[in-house]
Amino acid sequence: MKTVAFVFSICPFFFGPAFSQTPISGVWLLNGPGSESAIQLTPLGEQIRSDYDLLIDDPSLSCTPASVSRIWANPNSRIKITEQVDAIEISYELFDLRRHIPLGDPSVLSDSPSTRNLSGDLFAEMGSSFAFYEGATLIIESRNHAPGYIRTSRGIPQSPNTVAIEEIEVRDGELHITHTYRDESLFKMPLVLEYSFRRIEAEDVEIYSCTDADYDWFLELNNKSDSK
Amino acid sequence: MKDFSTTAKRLLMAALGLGACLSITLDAHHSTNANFTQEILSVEGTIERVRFVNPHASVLLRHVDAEGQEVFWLIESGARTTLERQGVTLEHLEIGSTVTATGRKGRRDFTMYLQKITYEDGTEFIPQPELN
Repeated sequence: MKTVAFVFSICPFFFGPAFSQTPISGVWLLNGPGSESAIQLTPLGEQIRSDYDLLIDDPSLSCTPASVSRIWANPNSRIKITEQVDAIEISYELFDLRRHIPLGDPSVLSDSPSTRNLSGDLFAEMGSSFAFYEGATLIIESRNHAPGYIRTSRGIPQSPNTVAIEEIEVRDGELHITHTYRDESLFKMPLVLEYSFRRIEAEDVEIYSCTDADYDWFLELNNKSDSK
Repeated sequence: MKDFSTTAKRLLMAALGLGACLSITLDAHHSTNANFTQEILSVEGTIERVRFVNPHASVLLRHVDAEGQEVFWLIESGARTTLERQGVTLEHLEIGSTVTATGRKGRRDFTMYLQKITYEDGTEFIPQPELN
């Protein structure tokens, strides 16, 4: 018996400490409107914003994520974070998005987008990401974005030059995210968004099965009605 | 029209109204807050179609105006997922029934974001304040 106890007591020295998740893991819901820093756009950023028509150009209309922060900041849609030994898995209920983020440094950055939906469609609007910890804070850095919108209500853009940093930590039982967007082609100063999330007692996200917005049939319906 | 209890109607509308309120914050799916104005209006009509989907459940109302002109209104509400979690189905919204929909006027013509529905018997629901 003493021999068995001895063997088990030295196991960690051979196999390393067991992997354990932090309080970041779990299922979360957006907990309020959040905050944003002053938006100072370059002339190019202003041009993109002025050209934006939210009734036509919002990627959400085609069940496409407009940006990382846009997907986090969706009321009533669950988000599940799972920390693994070598990666972070984030499941977003909105649009059935699944984001696989390797832990490490920029060398682990993939050429492919980190996010896909359940049909396997990739979404470069969410960029390619890698993650690391600074103490209890999980840092996610994303690059190689497709053009998109950080704020779909106002057409605040992102571009392939955009670098996005997500700092994720748990404070007083709440998950806090600070998004920092840097893109000298679009912003005179970094854009910073902050959101908080409350933990819910759910095991997973649910299947969303997004339906593309289609108002053409409706417009045609009233046009037919007019012609009667 | 299907005869069901006042309590059931109020529960249904409580959940629909709550779902509508919870969805009207910041950049909710397809920027709900930006797609609909602050103007409140009411439209009476006959339910022609009900869609219980993500990201927005919707009701199509056929409205006849004072000049006898037939116009269709698209009344949008919260996501199916959110409504289902609140115990809401749309089975009580019966095709062919006459209701009055009240909500925020949309930036697209003849669209609205639902705040309440009033049935022919006068049953109505006034939404609770936003939780967030």
